[in-house]
Amino acid sequence: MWGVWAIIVFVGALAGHAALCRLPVSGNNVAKFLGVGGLAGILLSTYLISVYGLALTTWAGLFLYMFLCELYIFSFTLVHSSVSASLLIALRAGALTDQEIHMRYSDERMVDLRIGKLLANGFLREGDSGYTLTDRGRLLLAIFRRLRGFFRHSAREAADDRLLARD
Amino acid sequence: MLAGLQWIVWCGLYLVGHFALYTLVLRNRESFLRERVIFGYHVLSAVALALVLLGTAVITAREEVLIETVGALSLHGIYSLSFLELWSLSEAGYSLRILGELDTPGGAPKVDLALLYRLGSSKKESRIESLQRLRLVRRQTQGVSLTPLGRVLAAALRAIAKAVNVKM
Repeated sequence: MWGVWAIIVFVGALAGHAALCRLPVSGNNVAKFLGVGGLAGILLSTYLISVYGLALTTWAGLFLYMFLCELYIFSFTLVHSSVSASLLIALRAGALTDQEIHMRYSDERMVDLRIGKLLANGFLREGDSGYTLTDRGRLLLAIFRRLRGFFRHSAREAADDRLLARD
Repeated sequence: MLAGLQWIVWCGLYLVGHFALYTLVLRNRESFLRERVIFGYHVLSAVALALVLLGTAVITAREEVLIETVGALSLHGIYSLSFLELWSLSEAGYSLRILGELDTPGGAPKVDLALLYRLGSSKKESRIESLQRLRLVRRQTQGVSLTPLGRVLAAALRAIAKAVNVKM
């Protein structure tokens, strides 16, 4: 039953999040889910500990719940921001020509949408001279530049360039 | 309680070992700069962990093995999903690239948005190619369409979009 409870509580958190996304509540979708999912997680922990104690079953149930939550956050942020996900959903209605794809996902619209989100989330600010990074934006960029170095993405791009030059 | 803690420690050590192997050895190899190889490294590890746990269950005939397997795979899933998401975002996050382009002393004037628009164009082309490689879309005479696999994934994504009230 521990696994079933983890799934039931997760479905409850999804329903709560779906309702919250339809109410005039401020905050982005991730923050809303962290609120609902966190509360549901506390309820699940309380239930599992009261029934099983701090046993293997409790930990397994909590890890299962946390994994489902992370997978869900990953999925809805993907739907919200990924060009690929948006294109896949659009293609459900039928094939699109290259021209239709270009019109639907014009470069200007895509960039404007991203800039709008960066402004709304406090990573950018718009001034008289144009867009500037906020401290939050600079911190995010610094973190991801470090990660980029750690994962050696620049080395891969250099390898790709070498291959292109050889061709 | 101790049995539970011991199990978590073993799982944690396995994941720390997996990460350490990548950090100290594998990330310096050219093949591990590729998305497909990184993804395979995580999937194979999860499959191996599941096989070891199930094999142990057959040998020892313990009842807790299902609980251990679900818990261990969930922990592995949390670790792998976090790792792969950070890998992917730091590689090609569109918003991060915009932030990078605007990270100049005093900010970037609005006219420089042309540069960002070119970034959007290259991103779009590479995404269609990626979807083709993953066999989610195909090019036909009438344009780009979904494959059966792409149709399943698109339906799942649409359901999620509906749940979180995202207008597509």
